[in-house]
This record gives sequence, structure tokens and C-alpha cells, in this order.
Amino acid sequence: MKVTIHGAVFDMDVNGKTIGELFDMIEAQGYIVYQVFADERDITNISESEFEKLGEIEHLEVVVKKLKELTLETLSEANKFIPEYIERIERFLDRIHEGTETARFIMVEQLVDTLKWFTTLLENIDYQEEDIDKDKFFTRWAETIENLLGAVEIKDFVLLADVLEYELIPVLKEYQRFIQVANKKII
Amino acid sequence: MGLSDLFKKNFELLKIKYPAIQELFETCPVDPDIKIIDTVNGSKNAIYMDGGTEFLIHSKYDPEKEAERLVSQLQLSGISSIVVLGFGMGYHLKELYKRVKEKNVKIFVIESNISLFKEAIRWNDFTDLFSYDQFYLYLFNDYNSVELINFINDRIDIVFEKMIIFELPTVNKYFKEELSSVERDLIFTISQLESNRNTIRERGKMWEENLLKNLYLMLNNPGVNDLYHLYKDKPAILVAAGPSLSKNMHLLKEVKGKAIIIAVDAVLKVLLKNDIIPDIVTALDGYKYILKYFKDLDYSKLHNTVLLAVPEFFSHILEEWPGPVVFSPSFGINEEKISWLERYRGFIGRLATGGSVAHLSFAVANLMGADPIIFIGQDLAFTDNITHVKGNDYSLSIEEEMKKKSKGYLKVKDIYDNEVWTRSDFYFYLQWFNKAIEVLRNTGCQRAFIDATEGGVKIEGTEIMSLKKAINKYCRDQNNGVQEMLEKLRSYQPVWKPEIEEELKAIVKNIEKLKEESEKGLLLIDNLLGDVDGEESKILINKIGEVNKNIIKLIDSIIFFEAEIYNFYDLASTDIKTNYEKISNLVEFYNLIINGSKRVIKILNQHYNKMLSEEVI
Repeated sequence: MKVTIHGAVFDMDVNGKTIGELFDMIEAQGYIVYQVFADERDITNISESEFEKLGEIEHLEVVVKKLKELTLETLSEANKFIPEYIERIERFLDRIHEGTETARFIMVEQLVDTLKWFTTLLENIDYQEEDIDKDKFFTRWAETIENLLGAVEIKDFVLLADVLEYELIPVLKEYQRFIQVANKKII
Repeated sequence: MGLSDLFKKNFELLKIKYPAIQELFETCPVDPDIKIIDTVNGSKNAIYMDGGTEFLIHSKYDPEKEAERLVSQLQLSGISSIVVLGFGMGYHLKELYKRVKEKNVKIFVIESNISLFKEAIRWNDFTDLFSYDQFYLYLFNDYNSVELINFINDRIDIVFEKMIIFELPTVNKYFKEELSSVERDLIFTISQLESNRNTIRERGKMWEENLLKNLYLMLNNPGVNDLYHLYKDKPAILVAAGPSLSKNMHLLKEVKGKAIIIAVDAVLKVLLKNDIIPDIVTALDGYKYILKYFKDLDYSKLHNTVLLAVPEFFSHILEEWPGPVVFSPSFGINEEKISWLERYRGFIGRLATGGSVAHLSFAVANLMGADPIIFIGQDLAFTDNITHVKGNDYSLSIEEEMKKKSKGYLKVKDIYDNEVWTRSDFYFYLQWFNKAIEVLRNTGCQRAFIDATEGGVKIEGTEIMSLKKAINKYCRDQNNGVQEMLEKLRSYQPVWKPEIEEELKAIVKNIEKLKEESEKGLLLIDNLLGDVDGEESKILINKIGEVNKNIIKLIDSIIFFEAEIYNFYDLASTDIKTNYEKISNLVEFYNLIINGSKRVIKILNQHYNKMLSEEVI
């Protein structure tokens, strides 16, 4: 199997290594595996069972990024996305009592999926220096998500609307300010 | 203002409209599941405790803003009434009132939690809403379907009302199991309105013309009220035209004189062909397709058969009918005209139906006090894949039926639990029967309802039995009920007040004036659309305004040709945006009045002349 690594130059012997061993070696050098191609097919997000079905790979290409670089990219993406996400919530609020309950819950699920991505990002931001607001903000974020999921669980759309409008939107704005600060600090 | 003052002020206003509310308040126990809290913006909110889980009735931050959002989601254009499920703390109602008060839209509010309602009026000011003429409140402890349906039906135009339902989002948390019943009844009311509207649109003009032609007959013939309890505790067999009728119709010969046979118009020819003479024939629809049921009838067999017909039925058939004719108006249809006539000849009676002539048979059997009431031919489905009883020249195979008519079709379970095709309107008729029997039972009716159709769908509340068995069980003894009914109807002495002649004369005069004003209006619009300057057009617009005022003064006379302007109701219910639209509408309105007037004046004059030639009692 021929291995090509994009995004960094490594001085290491990759021959005879399994893909898992290869990724461990990359991470040990302070890099993150960003994308993986097997014979030009993107296999970055495939499952283990799908991976097993691939058979022998002739050419494996790995795109790597420095953790800092990746974090900055993701923060920038989140920063741009938050206003659009808030708009999406506001549009949902305008129609929150319309349509079938099932249809409304599908919308809520989509909103919650995006929130999970925000949470993952938050969990991966690591500061080099202490930030006194960080814990406070993290707690508020976690409480808001909990309140939201609680409203969904008891199917209370009045509560859900309250949480979305008066808790989540402000906390998302705070989130945006937070990642902007984090961005500067990481740079 | 102190809190108790607010409560008092709200309550006093409510008491004027609903005196019974005092007792309802006094007897209502405090609901321990309700707690009042402050919202973030300083308003009041209620928390409802539902088995350990707390629910807020409104937003805990800003209930007023939430109400704005809720109401803005409603499609209010063209709507004439809104049924609101849940009063809650009333924020949504204050907002709704703000939005609709200028349009005079009716607001019906249904609330099941009296404790919550008391809290709402303790904390919020509803004096504007409660003073609104079109505000109607239905508070209940124990839900009663009939009461609610009547509460709404009594306050709406059963043809032209355009109604929507608006549910407070949290109503499902505290209405409990009653919510589905309330929703079911409201959907039933709305579909009935829809059905009425469609029927009236299609047939209104013909019905109205028939009714106008029947005015004189209605003065001189008995009304359905005269049949009250005339067949008390004796069996009635209701004959409908379903396919299963061919299975047991022959048995009807055995019951002559032992049970009253009430047949729908559609089955009359088949019965006569089989030498079965019904005692009463019911006719609900005065529309052209009905004529075939009466064409080439052997009238010589019908001297002892009563024709029970709606006032909108064809006058030439009523005049030819050899037996007694009894009028049976339906609730809400042409109510103004019929009430007007009743002022001079007395109450005719009303029977509630759900659009099917079989409902009329059922309603009259109940009115007559018959017991049991036995259904035959009441398939309400395409048993054996045909639409009507065999031998009927309008019976179709299901394939022909589906090809010919653009109705909805669905499969339902028949009385043997097999799948059978039915039509959406038949299905609606079934629901009406189900509801009617449920309502009768709930109001203490003990009579037996037997479904002896031997096929078709199951009517809830009926006992399924073969006709043979039903006859053996209930129709063994001869009785003279039919004879007594015929004697009573034949000896009916019409009594009407002579003032009707003068009244009719005045109405004709008013309609002539209406016609003249409308012609004047058309002329003014013609001038307005011509080459006129600003000053002239102002004068013309003022003159048109005067014409319209004069028309409004005379508008009561329009009851006699209301159907002529049905289309105008649609125009009037949508928002008019431009001057051009206004003018087009006016032209259409004037033309409708002119056409209607011409038609009506001729018929009313004929009645007037007949009255003059009669001796007044």
C-alpha cells in the first residue's frame, strides 16, 4: 500500500504499518487526521464495517492538519454559522405551534444535532492561559442544553419556545463572543 | 385598581351575558393543581401540575409576546368565527380580540378548567373582550357534546359561517380526556358547515325558488309539529335505498298496519313496483336530480301516503301529491323566510338532519315517538359492490359509480366485519346517525334502535337483527296509528293571520324599491367610469353612498332572494384591496339584486292574488 501524507512532511517509516498505527504516529507528531482517501475515495467518515468491506487499498492518502490550525478553522466556521443558526431558530419560533407534532419534533431534532456539534467544539477548545469566565459560560451552556432536551422530552412546546428564545439565543450570542475571544487567544 | 376590583369588574360583565356563571363559580371546587406565578416581564402565569410534572400555561418570560406570535400564525382572512380551545390566562384572547374586533369576527371560547378561568379574570383585565358583542364563552365542568354543538350552532350562520379552531398550545395538558371529544365535535360542526355550504352553493337558487313557490302551500298545510307523538311506542320501519333492501323488502307487506313504514323518496318507485305502499315518504332535497324519483309515479296508490317534505321541495309535486302533505323545515335552512311565514301561520316545527333524506325519516320517527325504530336498506355502503337496491333504475355498479362521480371513496368494515366500499358522504351520514343516537341516549332516550338492513356498515347504538326477527319481535299486533295520523292530517284546518296580505304587499313594494335603487346605482357607476373630473366624481361617489344606504334600509326584504346573492357573500368575506375591485363588486351586487328582484316580485304577486281570493280565518 502506497501512503501519501498531505499537509505535513514526516520523517517516519510507514511500511508495514496498519492504518491505526499510522494514525497514532501522526497524532504523536501533534497533527490531526483531517481527511482520508482510499484509492481516491473519501473514507473519512465511513464505519468500521464499511471499512472492512473495502478490501486491499493500493493508495492511501491522508490529509493532516495541526490541531491549532484545525481549531482555528472550525472556530471561524462556527463564528460565521451562529447568526444563520439563530435566524433558523427564529424562523422555527414563528411556526412553532403549526403543523403536526411529529414534523415539529423533526425540526427540533435538527436544531439539537447542530447544538451537539457546537458542544463538541466547545469541549475541544483548550486555552493556554486561564480564563475566569470559561467555567461560568460552560455551565450556562450545559444548563441551556439540558433545559432544551427536558422540554423536548416532556413535549412542552411552550417551554421549548421559552428556552429557544430567552435562553438559547442569548447563550449562542455569548458562545459567539466566547469563540471570538478563544480564537484570538489561540492565534 | 385592586385585584378584587378587577375580578369584580370582569365578573359583573360576564354575568350580564351568562347569568348562570355565578352558580358555576360557586360550585366549582378550587383546583389544587393550579399555581399562579410571576413571569419575567411581570405578568401572571399559571403552572399546572400534571401527575408530578409542572407545565406552564403560557411563556414564563413574556406571555404577551408569545400571544402575539400565536395569533399572527392564524390565517384570518375571510374567517367569520374562531373557536378557541382554552382560555388559560387569556393573553392569546386579548391579542385575538385586538386583531378581529374591527371585522366583527365571532370569538367562541371553550374552557374546561373553571378554577383557571377564575384566576385569569382575577389577574387580567378582560372588560373589552367581555363587552365585545361577538364574544361567546362556554365553560364546563362535565363535558356535554350536545350542549357544545348547540351553543355554537345557535350563534352561527349554518351556511355562510367560515370557522377555524385555535388551540392554546397547552390545552392538551389540562383539558384531559375531554379534549378529543371537544375536538371531534368541533370538527363535526365544521364539516357540517362545509357540507351545508357546498349544498347551498349548488342548489340554493333552486331551493329558494321552490320555497317561494310553496309559501301559499305552507300556509295551508300542516307542519311536522303536527305529527308529534302520533305513533308513540309503536314500531317504525325506516326504508332507505341501500343495496341490501332487496334481501328483505318483501317482508314489508306483512307489517302493513302493524308498523309505520317511512320510506325515503329514492326508494318509492321500487316499493310500489313490489306492491308495498309506504305510510310516509320523506323528501329532503328540492334539486333537479330528485325529480326522477317522482317521474311517472302511479299516484293512484298514494292517497293514504303522507309526503313529508322540506319547504324547498318542488311545488308541482307537492300540488299533485294525492295524500296529505306535511312540511318539515330543516334547522337553519332558509330560517328567516320560514320564521317570517310562521309569524302568520304558527310554528311549523324543525327537524335536524345531516344532509341525508334517511336522517329526515329517522328524525320524524323519533318525533312521532315510535319505538322501536327499525332500519332497513340503510347500508351506507356499496354492499355487493352496487350503489342502491336492485330494480332501481339509478343503481350503479361500484365501477360505474366511481367513474361517474368525483366523490371520495373508502373501505370500512361492514356488520359482518368484512371490508366494504363506501363513499365519503355516506360515511359522513353514518357519523351523523352515530352522533344522533348517542345524543338521544345521553338525553335519556330509552327507545330501541334496530338495524335490520342485513348488510352495510354498523350504525353505533343499534342492535343488529334480521328483519324477520324484528317483525316477529316487535310488529305482531295491528294498530290504528297510521289511520289516526291520516285523519288528523286530513282534518287540518289552516289558520293564518290576515296581516300577512298587507305584509306581502309591503315586501313586494320594498323589493321594487330595491330594484330601482340598484338600477340607479348602476347608472351612477356608469357615469363615474365616464369622463368626470374630481369634483363630479366626488358628487357621484356620495350619490352611490346614498343608494347603498337606501339598499341597506331595505335589505331585510332580500331574504326572499338571498340565494341570488350567495356569490356576493364570498366577495364580501375577502379583503377588498383596490377601488377597481370595490366598483366591480358593487356592479355585481346591483345586478344580483336586480335579477333577484325580478324573479321574486312575480312569484310573490301570485301568492298575494291567491290570498286575496281565499277566505281568511
